[in-house]
Amino acid sequence: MTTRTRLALAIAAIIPALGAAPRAHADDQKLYIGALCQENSLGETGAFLRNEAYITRVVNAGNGRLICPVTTDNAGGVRTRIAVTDTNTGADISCSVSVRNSDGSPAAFQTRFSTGSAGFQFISPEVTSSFSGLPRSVECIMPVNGSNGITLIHSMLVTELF
Amino acid sequence: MRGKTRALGLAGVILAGIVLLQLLSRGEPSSPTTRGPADHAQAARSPDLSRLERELQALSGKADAADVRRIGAELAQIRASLARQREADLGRDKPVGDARRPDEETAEEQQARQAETIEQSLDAQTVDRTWSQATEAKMAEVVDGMEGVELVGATCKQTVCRVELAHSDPARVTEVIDDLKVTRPFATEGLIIYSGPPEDRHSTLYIAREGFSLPLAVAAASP
Repeated sequence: MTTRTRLALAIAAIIPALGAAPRAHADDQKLYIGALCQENSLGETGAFLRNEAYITRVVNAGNGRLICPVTTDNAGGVRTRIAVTDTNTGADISCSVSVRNSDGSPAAFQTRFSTGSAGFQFISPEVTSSFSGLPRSVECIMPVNGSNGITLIHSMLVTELF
Repeated sequence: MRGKTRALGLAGVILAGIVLLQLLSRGEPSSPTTRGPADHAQAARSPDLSRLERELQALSGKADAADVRRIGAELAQIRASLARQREADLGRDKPVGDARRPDEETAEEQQARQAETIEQSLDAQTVDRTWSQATEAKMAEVVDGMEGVELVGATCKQTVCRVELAHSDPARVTEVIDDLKVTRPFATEGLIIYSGPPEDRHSTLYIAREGFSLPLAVAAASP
């Protein structure tokens, strides 16, 4: 057997070994525009301004809470990447990912804040634990725009972890 | 040159053999009813793999030393990969009656397991006095300012706090927790365990220190 033949044999042996390596699971991702977030209670209608690029709180009514879209197929974790603008030096945007019990009460959560000095930025709350059969929710609280600056929620990337 | 050629040829033969074994071991669907741990142990140490190892040892004196070391390292990597695969297969093949995987537990069982993991971490942690006292005081101040809830106790150690609440207004339990999770120092990462009847609802909150994560049990990957 020649050297070339042996080399070919060695390469032929390696290629299927690489192909047999375990494959990573693909995570499910969804992108939403900020305007899809909904006010969480009555009386807030008119407090938020929506357009194609962002949602922002323009009237100081209600508590500024938004419920943002998240749809999950399984009991795994949820990771978010929320694109916001925050120039408000007096208050920040907070966004939480929660796991909810069947009665709606929070079972687990992670909360992250924007910073008023950063302008355009991403905030990324996530819940990576597995809780069988419990729904997830994404909630944000926006301060009202004013002399301290403004806050905008542009979009959110929701990744469902398998 | 001859030594190098021999080593390359040897590497090809060994890798081809191992890949064949790997493919053969994957060819049969693993069935809990037909394959047990003993079968896996046998597959773990197949005669062919042993023979290849013996051949490598026999030839190691003739081939170039660097090539032999490299081949040996590759062999070790492949063996480790096979061992990991076998462990995963064994986990999947657990018979009914064994401890269930986390993804087979109910949500309540998962929450209880996570709480137990955090409690163990809390027990093991030393106390960062400056941070824990300031945080406990701030938590008490926040809860005092809320309706329908009383603070039973708050204990912070190094990176985690346990906060026990008594809810006097059952209709506001969810609202109280939702308010807390966006209010510092609660607004980090938390796990909430509820107990008691609706008219005497209690909750235990495990809250991570800002910049830290809760010491949760690792979630199992889906099969």
